[in-house]
Amino acid sequence: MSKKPHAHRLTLLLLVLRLLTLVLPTALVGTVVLYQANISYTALDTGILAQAAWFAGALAVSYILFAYRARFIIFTPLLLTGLWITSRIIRGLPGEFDVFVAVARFDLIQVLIVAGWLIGWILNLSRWLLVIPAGIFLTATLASISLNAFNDLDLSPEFLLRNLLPTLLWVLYMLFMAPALQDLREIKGKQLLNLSLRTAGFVALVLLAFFIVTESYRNTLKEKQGEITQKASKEGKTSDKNDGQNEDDKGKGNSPDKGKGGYNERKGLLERPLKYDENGKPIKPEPGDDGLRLKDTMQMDDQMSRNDYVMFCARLENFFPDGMPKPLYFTYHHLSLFDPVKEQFMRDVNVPMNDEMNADPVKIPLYNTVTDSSVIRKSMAVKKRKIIEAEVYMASNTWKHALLAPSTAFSVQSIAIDKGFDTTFQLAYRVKSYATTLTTTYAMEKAAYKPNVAKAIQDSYEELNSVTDYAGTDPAVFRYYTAYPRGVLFDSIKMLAEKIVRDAGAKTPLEKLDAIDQYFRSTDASGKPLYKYTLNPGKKTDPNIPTATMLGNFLFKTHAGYCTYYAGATVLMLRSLGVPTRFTTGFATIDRSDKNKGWYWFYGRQAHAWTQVFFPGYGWIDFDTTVGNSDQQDAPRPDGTPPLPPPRPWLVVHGVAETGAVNKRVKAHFSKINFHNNEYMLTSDEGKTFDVSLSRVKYGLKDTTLAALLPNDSVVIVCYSDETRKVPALQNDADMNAQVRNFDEPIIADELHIKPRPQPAKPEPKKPEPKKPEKKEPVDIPFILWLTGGIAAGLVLLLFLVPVFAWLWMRSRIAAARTAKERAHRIYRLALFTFHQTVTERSNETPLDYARHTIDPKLHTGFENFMHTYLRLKYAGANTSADDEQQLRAFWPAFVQATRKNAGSSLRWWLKFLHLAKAQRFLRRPHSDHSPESTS
Amino acid sequence: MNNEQTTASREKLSLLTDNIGTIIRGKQQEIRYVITALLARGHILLEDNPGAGKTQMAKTLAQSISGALADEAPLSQSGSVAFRRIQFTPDLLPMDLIGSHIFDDVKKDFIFKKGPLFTNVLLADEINRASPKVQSALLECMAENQISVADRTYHLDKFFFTIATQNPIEMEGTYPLPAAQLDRFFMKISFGYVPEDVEFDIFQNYLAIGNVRENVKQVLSYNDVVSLQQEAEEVYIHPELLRSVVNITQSTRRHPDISLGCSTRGGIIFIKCLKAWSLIMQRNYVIEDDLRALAHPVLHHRLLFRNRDAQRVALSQIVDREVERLAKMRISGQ
Repeated sequence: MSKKPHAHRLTLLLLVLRLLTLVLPTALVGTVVLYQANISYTALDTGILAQAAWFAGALAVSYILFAYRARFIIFTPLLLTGLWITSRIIRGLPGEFDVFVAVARFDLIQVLIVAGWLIGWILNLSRWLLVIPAGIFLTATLASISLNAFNDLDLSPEFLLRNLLPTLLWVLYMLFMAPALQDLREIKGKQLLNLSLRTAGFVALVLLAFFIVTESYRNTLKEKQGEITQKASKEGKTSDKNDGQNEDDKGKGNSPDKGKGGYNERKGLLERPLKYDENGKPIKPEPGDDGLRLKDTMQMDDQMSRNDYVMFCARLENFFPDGMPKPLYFTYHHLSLFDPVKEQFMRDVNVPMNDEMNADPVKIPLYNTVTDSSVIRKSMAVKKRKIIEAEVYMASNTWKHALLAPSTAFSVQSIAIDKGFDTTFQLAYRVKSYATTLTTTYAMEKAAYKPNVAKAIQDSYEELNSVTDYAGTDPAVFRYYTAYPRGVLFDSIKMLAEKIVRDAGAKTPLEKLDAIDQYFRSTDASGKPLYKYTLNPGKKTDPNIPTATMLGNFLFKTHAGYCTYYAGATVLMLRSLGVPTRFTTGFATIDRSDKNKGWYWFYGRQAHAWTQVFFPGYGWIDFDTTVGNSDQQDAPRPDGTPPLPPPRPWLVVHGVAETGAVNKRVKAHFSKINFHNNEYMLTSDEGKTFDVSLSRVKYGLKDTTLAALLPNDSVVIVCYSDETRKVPALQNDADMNAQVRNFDEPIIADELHIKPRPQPAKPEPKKPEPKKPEKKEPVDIPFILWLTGGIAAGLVLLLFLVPVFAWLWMRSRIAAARTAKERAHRIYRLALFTFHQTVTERSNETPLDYARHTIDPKLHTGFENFMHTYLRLKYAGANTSADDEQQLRAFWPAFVQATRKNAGSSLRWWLKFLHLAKAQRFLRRPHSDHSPESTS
Repeated sequence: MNNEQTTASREKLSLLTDNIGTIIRGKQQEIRYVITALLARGHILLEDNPGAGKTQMAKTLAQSISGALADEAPLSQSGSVAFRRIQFTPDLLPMDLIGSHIFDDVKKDFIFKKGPLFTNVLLADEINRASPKVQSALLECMAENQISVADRTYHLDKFFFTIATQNPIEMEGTYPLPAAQLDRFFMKISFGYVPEDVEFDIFQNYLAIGNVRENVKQVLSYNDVVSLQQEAEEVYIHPELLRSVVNITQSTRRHPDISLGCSTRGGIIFIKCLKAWSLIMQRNYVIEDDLRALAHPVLHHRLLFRNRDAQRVALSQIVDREVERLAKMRISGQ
């Protein structure tokens, strides 16, 4: 019955047990934390496994050493000296670059070893020191997560759960299990039984929490599951083709490496947008909603990923006078607002003279035209402008809800795609743009200028150089587009811009722009280009330098970046010089082959950002200051065959099918038609019968069969003008209603587009009673896991609070006592419990001896006197006297005061009650049976 | 219970304890045990190495009590109760204890010459060195308080208190007492050596201590002892404590490491001792601490253990459990 804690020898078996139960989980959590850090910080790339091995090795060695009572004060200096010597040796090695890498790696390894060493030491020490590794792990995890949050990448509940749960579980495990494991002195039946009971308790707590959550949300879960399966089966029926893609997207969120292509859209220009419902849960995208798009905000990332997917192809009717194609960049959005904190460009809703046409090509009915001519006025351009036409064919992998068009688009018409190409392309539109005739965006191909192009550029430059100031420009526009942020970084950018302009002697806006462009293309003293293009600018931020941001690094340190850097820096520099400029995203148009003149193919890697500068009278002109980047020129695949131009329909009707397809005929009612490319609204509606025997039938964007047509479906029926058919001619003077009435029936239809029916309302849950609204919220697994963890943590916390509750309960029972004897007993129990928790545990003594020898010498509470009275009341069969009553009354608050004083402060006094194991020893029921117990 | 009487007896008892304590220093607990056995009308066995103060103890006790045997003048000059000491040796015969018939020339008859047993306080030194025959003769007297010789039965005085001593059993030349005889002793205690500072004190004052022994105060009278014995019997014992004594005796019988449990007589003796002890502890009721204090001296020598570990802890376990039960027990009654 020795009480000396160090009297035992640590057996090998016990050591192995502790390694398994304490060190192994810690090493695993350390690995998880390292893994997270590796994702977030690119600097740490020596391989996660190697790092984890170093950490775990140091942890295990240190744990074993300290378990056999090695002296910290001796071994730790030894370790540090060893590390120092090794690092000196590595630093002294010959070679330059290799040594740098080796040193960097060794520094990392040193940190890991020291961390493992310290944590191993701590695991051997008092259980309260566990707070330190717990703090380290949690901080590291949070740092990794917050970095993600800062980059605005992914903060879905799953993500947080995946990252936080291991550490949280570890902390919980250690809190609950470590005391028991550390107290385990020898492997004997009873201790092992206790330990397994505790383990079982831990698992049971977690399971119980999980059970509570799943039980309380079971109904909602069922609904959710039903919904998913229903959806899946429906999609399986309607489109076999898209199955792969659907599978891909199903309920995964935009986790970093999703998608079969294996590319990463987190960094760079493209993103895969997700829609969220009002609860912030991702909604499964409708066909056409998914796919890649350019981001709405652009910041300087540490790397840009690219992909080689065809985004769209386009025919652009823009040629030089000699017939040579003149590619224009395809604009997506103007990001006119700059956020100096995040260093990102973003869209703004309150742009003065916003010349961006707001149209969603998906929502334009087939062959309908949407026009917004106000943008022509808002473009503020009057000189050197013309209207050009383009056709854009969107690939299936592209986001289709925003317009991609050259320059200032003002009119969009939705067009059909020829049958042979509708698997490659899903949506097509014809767009009219108000574009400049000047030639400026040839930065990328400057080396390969053809003489006439060079001349055109020269002419354009001269023309634009005539603009010397912005007198007469709308002050609101001027102010808006020259707004410049304040701060050390921006001041130094402004100084740099002023220096560049001063050195070049630039006066006009164009000269200033050219000076900046030339600056990016200049060479340094050794003849090497000053700036270079890279997809991996890296995170080389040094917190000691105020300009240590991605932008500051780019301009003042690394001189390497991709288009966002060049465009962003140019916009800021020009704005600082008072030149209205805006940041534009879209796709660089590259003329790669002469095979199909005017046709261009756009791959994901052509996503681009450039600068638009305002010149009064000429409007917004594209400029590209990004330095040469050869790999944007090469297509990953050769340009494909352009889709056949869509046939010209003589009739497009927008109506409602009266019946389904009967004998390959459809009767449709309509009030709106496109007749010979003009739109008409009809006043009378009689309906016409169409012969759809040869028609292509599409449901939404998907091909289907006539069987898909149901009565009362909204349909668009397209009839081509074919030489072999008799097509009614347009009579300009006649009433359109009458003309339509005279069409011969059945009209031969070539295309039948069925508008997707609205999803039938969700069947109400079977239980008829009204449910609370929050019950209907979709609940997903991560949320359940969260709640589980939370409840488990709460239960553990409650468990630790049990002694406090017990104390309060016992105290309340004193007042409730009916007789003096009962009160005496309750005071006695409370006093024993209080002394037990806050002063010293009663070992094998009787309470009287405990009072006499342990408590009273320390606290002078008169406990012994109380005990005498109490024992007399208990065993002498005597009645209470007034003296006794008074003594009880005096004793009861006195010992609480005395113990509080002994503990130091009230808080520390309460904290002592959290010692669960101690309280459990007190509250354990007495052995009421007298059967012999096995001795130990 | 009369309160004044209790106060008086308290004073007497503390006087007695203190008085003995002037000679037997640093052994207050052991002194109390001896007095307990005295008040419980029992006998005590001291087991210890030679020179630990066993004999001194017996002498001092006897000298502290004045008065005499009813039918005989006190033997000691100082007028204390009769004190006899018998050194047990292997060749000692029962006759040497109880006395023998010798021929009276005048009366022409055998007359009975009383042996040293006819006394108040008997010190039976090194009892385990005598043969079993002598041992059993002594133990019969202790149990029955009477001696049968030939056709006559002689009653011993009602104040008859034996302090037997024995050397540890392992020593050579001993006849170990059988369990049945051990059972007759109310208590078996061992003095043990005194702590360092007390021993220093004794060495420093051994002359003074010797002198004091010569004239130990007689603090109690013969009648006082008898009345204290009476009073001890009247000490109140709570039914739950009786229940605990039952539990303890039962547990010793069921315990797997105890081959011979406590007898019912052992239990009765335990209760008697508890009462006497309470009186010495200045109480007229028994409490749970008394169980703890007395269980070992009263019960341990009655048990036979299967192994050494059990000898060390088994009884403590049983008693601890009972004490814990009592400590957590509610107060009964109003």
